[in-house]
Amino acid sequence: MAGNEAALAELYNRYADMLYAFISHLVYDPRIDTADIWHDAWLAAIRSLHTFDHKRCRFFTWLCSIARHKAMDSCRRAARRPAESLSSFSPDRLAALIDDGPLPEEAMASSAVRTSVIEALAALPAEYRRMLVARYADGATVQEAAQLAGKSYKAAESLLSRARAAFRLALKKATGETHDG
Amino acid sequence: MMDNNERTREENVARLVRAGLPAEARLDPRVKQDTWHRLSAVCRANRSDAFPNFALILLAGVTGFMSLWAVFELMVLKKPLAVLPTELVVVSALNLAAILPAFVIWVKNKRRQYV
Repeated sequence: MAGNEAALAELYNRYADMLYAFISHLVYDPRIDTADIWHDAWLAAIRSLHTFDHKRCRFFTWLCSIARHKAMDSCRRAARRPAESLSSFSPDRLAALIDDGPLPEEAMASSAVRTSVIEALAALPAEYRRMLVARYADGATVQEAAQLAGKSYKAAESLLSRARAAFRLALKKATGETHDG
Repeated sequence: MMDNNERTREENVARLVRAGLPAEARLDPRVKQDTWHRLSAVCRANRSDAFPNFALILLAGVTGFMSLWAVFELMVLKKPLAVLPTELVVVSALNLAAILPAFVIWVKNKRRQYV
C-alpha cells in the first residue's frame, strides 16, 4: 500500500478526525500541542505502512498505537507525566451498563471510556458515524441530520437507529479489545 | 414510537458520543487540509525512494564492472599491478564521479520529502 496516494487519501479522510480526538483524550493537557502529536503520528504511520498487518489488527488500532507512543514521547520531552483521567471508571463496565440503564456521570469523565468511544466510532461505516456525530455531537435535529445525509426523515430515523445499535456493538468490542490486549 | 429502554439506550449513546467528541477534540479543517498536502508529498517521496534511481544503478554497474575487470586481470591474467594504471585510473575516476550525481539525487529526494 506504500506510495499509493489514493489509498492514503481514503485512510486519511476516514481516520484523521478520529485520530485527533483520540490523541486529545490521551494528553488533554493544554500545554501539549495535540496537533503536533497527530501530525507526527501520521508521518510515522506513512513511513512504516509496510509493517502494518491487517490480519493482526484494524488500521485504526494500529494508528492509535503509534499515536500513543508519540504522545508518551511528547510528554517525556515536556517532562510531564501523561495526564491522569478525571475518573477511574473502567470501560469494561460499559458493556454491562449501556443497555440496562442510564450510564453514571463518572463514565463520561473517564479518558479510557472516551478513547474507547473514538475507537468504536472509527470502526463504524462512514454513513453511521456521520449520522451519530451530526445528531449527538453537533446537536443537529433528526430533520437536519436527514438533510445532511440527503435522506427523508423516516430513512434518517431508521439509519440513526441502526447506527446506534452498531455503535453499542462496536463499543463493547472496543472495550473488550482494550482490556484483553 | 420508542419505548423507555430504547430511549435510555439512545440517551447513553448520545452522552458517550458527546463525551468522545467535545469541541476541544475537534480537528481544525485548515490544519487537516495543510497536513494532507504534506503527507501526500511524503507519500510521493516514498514512492521515488522505493526503487533506486536509474542513474545510480548505471553508475554502480559500470563501477562494479570496471572493478571486476581490474581484479580479473590482476588475479587470473597475473598482470603485475604496475601495468594496470589505465584501468585503475578509470575505476577510481568513475568512483569519484559517481559521488556527485549520487549526492545530487539524494538531496533532490530528501527535499521532495520535506516540501
